[in-house]
Amino acid sequence: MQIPIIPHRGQKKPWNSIPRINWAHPLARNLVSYGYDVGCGPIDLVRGSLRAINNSLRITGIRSSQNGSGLLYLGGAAVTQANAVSLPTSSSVVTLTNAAPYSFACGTMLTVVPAARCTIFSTEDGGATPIQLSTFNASNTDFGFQFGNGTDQATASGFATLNIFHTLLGVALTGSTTACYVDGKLNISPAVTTTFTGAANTKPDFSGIFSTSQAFIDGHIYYGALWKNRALTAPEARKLHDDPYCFLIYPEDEIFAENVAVTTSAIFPLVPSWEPQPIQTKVITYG
Amino acid sequence: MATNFLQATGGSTTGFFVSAVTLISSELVSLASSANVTSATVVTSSGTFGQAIWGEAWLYMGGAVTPLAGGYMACWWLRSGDGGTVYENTTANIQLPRPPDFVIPASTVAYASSGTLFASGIVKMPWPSAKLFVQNNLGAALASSATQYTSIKIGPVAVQY
Repeated sequence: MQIPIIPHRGQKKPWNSIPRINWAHPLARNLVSYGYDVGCGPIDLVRGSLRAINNSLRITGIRSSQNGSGLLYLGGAAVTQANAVSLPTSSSVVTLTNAAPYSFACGTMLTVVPAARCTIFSTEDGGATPIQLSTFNASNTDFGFQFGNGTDQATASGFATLNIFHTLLGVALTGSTTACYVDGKLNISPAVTTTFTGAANTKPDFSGIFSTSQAFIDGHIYYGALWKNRALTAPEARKLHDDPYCFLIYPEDEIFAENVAVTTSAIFPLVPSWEPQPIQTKVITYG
Repeated sequence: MATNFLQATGGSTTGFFVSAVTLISSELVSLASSANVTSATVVTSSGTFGQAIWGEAWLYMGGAVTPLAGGYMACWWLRSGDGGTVYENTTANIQLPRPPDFVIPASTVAYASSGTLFASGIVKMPWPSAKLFVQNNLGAALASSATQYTSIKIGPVAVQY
């Protein structure tokens, strides 16, 4: 069966079903965790792990959005010190920050201006937070990046807008240099220590309140991704924002691929010829 | 010559390629939250699905259930490589180590008996003999009704020129 190469999907999840990772895609190299919201919370498509809900008070439920269906996280002050949703740990997640380079990213859409600092996507062990993507660090419209269980590095205010698909990508280039991308563009490059030896129970979290967070986000977190031993580049950051699901293969892709390249009943010459040859395959156009 | 790419009607009056199949039913009686169970029913590509490659799956409620926020049913094809003698390993209350073949998300509402929820997206049918392995992640136990079972069904679908 031929798998079609979709040139551009955009930021809306193209289908509701459970995709698989196209490991031949350049963006999938060294991907060690990819929590993709299949409509009822993230599933780690790298390892097949299902999410655990740790704080049901901070989840509204399954809701649709212009970027696809998924859990709608519920904002508010911290009632209990528990992240909303987490994925199981793995050795690759635990050792992600032991050495640079590494990269971490999430796709999110905020629906309410946060009232206090909120963690969107992070890894944590119940105490330390090796990496973190957050909002409301200095103002209620900024984003924050945290490397190596360090301090938050805030963008300028005004980047965290509502009801827009945002991509946050933190890249640890070396043990002391970073690149922080917002919506595919380099935003800040703080010089901070990026390395941190993760504890054995370090796991990916979606909407948490660890470290200095005081509240939860209102909104969706469509995916959270971790790359070990890899620093994503500026073009890859751009691609990740413009076409975040370009390295996923959905069952629907394959069903439409069934009849691609079906030969017609006519017999055409198979020898080289300078003459224009009739098209021997049927073409399917994807919407 | 242009030819339209269509949904195959097959022999079923319900729109499916062949008649819909109940994959699991009585095994789901009172299935606790986070618990899992394997179907007794064995399906085969040619014998059950008319060799259809794809299907539309749904959950049919046998009684009242109120899922928690973000609740869903996770479903895997439990495959057999030897024609139905030995199947993939399973462990009580532990999911299979790969993504589910399909999930059926639920809202945080009170579903009454006969409530119906379809799976997200289409489902790829298994090639070899298979059972259905289900984990209840609704956050609530399934209904205890033994007269009208909660069940998961699937209708095979196909495309054609």
